[in-house]
Amino acid sequence: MDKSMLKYIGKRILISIVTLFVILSILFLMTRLLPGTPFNSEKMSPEQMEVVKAKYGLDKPVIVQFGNYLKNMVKGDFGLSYVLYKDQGVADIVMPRAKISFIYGIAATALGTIVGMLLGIIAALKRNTIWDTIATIISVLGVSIPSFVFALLLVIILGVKLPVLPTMYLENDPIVSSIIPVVALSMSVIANVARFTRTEMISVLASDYMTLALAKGLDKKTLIFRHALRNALIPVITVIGPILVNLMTGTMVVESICNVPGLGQILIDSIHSNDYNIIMACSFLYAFMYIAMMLIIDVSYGLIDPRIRLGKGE
Amino acid sequence: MAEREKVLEIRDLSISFRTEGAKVNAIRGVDLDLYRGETIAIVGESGSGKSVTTKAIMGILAKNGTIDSGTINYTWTDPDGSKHTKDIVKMSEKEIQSEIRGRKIAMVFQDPLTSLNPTMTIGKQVMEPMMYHYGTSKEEAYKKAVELLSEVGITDPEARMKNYPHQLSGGMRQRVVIAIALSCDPYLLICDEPTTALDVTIQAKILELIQDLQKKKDLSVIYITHDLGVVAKVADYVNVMYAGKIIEKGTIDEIFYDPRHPYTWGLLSAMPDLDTDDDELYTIPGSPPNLTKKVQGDAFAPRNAYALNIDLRLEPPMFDVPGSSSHKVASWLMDPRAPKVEMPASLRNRIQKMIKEGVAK
Repeated sequence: MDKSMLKYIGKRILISIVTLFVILSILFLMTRLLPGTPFNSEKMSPEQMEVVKAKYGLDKPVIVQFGNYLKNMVKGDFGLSYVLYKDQGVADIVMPRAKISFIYGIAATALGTIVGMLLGIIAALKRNTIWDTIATIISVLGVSIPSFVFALLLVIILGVKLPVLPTMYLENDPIVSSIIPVVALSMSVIANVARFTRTEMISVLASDYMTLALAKGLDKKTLIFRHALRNALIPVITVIGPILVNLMTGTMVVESICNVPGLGQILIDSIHSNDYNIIMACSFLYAFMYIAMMLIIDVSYGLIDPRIRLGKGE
Repeated sequence: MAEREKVLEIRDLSISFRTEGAKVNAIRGVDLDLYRGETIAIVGESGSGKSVTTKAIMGILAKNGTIDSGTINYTWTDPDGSKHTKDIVKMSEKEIQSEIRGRKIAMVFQDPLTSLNPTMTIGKQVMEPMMYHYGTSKEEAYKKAVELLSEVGITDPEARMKNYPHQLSGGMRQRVVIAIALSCDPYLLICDEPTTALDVTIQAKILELIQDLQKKKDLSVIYITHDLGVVAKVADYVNVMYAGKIIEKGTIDEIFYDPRHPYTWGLLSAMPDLDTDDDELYTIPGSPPNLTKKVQGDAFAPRNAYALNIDLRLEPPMFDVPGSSSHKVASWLMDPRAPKVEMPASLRNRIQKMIKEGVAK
């Protein structure tokens, strides 16, 4: 990796940090603007309410609260849960769940990208044959059917009709329990990636540099793997970002169908109960995952495409 | 002409393409000869079949194209001095790929901006064919690639090896394409409009480069072009193509100074010229025939002001021009029974001027 590449990555990380800070500020302001407080018990008198608020520092001006929050966050302290898990540290509640959601998301993206690319490449190479048609049908189904429908289908078929997989999340068998939700989540990724890969591959195969490579006297395998694939994959990588956003909204529903102890369920619960710190931590983690993904995608884009890496002026 | 060594002999080549609902007879019986160290140009307008002919030689016809008849005999001499001739039409795809393409016949393409792989360094792209075909080691291939790059006039070749195509100008990229073509020491170089996409000042330099390399390496070269200016500069022999047939062939002097086919007259008249008296640039009226239908008579007849009755009914054979062994014309005007027809006066004046100035070499 050369110097310009490192500089590029550094610049991207800096921008990511700034973006995260902006997101965090908006989030903080928004949660404080939500109607109600975490302490909605009718039994509490206004005086008692003030005491509880003071206990958690919620009586101070918002800007001071934000300052304190940031200070603690840098130390890895995301505050305490007010309602759901009374007075437990948020980090301890959210982190194990985030890990599960994150692993599911990555697994589904990885599985979907690999299968989707293969499908797209086959469709492009065997254009206008039965293979192409099959790939197109899979793509259309994958794009148009939401992931939770797939999850339900898989649960019914593999969990109930021929019970080979658990229908619910099993604490002691996390890998087997993950098969249904991950496969369900990956369907839309497969569909999107296959469609883009096919289109890109077809246009690359028709390009002038492929004719030149052909005129060099290379065999088919070399042509496809050394010359075509890399060029076809560059645009595909860019669509993985948006696909991932879709996937994240999908995880919440799929997680609740398969009873996965992930971020989705707790985020919804915390919004209902105004559990500020849990809302903050969950949303921040979603934002962080998204931005981290975008960063990885941008960097890998640069690694694959020299025109992006070297930028202007070189 | 004592020992002219034949490299390529095409006889009666016919190629058709299947398209939706129709069969396009793109090439209709082409004969072509090319000798060692010589240059031929194939001239014609778009769709006349010049590119298809050369693609057939390379075995890179589009998937819907088939060779209906004919032979493409390619002759080469091995380092041990033994001579071999093979009919490319009869070779399998695998044989053409591993023996001919890139190795014995190489090609330079029209648009250097799009013909290099954008994600591969220049060095890798130049080194690839020799490593692939000859199993050259990486170090040796690197050395040879640097040599090649400096040979095609690229300054600071070592630094360029690490560059990507987008970091080079169009002219530089075309030099790289030429270096790639020469990397496996081919016998025959096909240049498909090699200067069309380049600006005029670079054009001349690229043509000179190809000529220099040709002399140095004793290459045979086929130029495909519609630019008669290019033809005049580089070619020994010219083949004028129209609607999938060669309608006039001869040495460069014969075609430029003594054209016989009305289509060639049209092409020469349509050449832009600075000191012409006419206000308007001449164009040949009409457009080429639809090759999905069977051509009746001479394909050029409907656009030909000099067409005879027979042109509409019978296809003219190749007539030898009296007094020349190389000049041949497919036009009924060459038949002894045909009325005597002169080329247009404006063209005659122009040719006279060209002879005085010595436009052709």
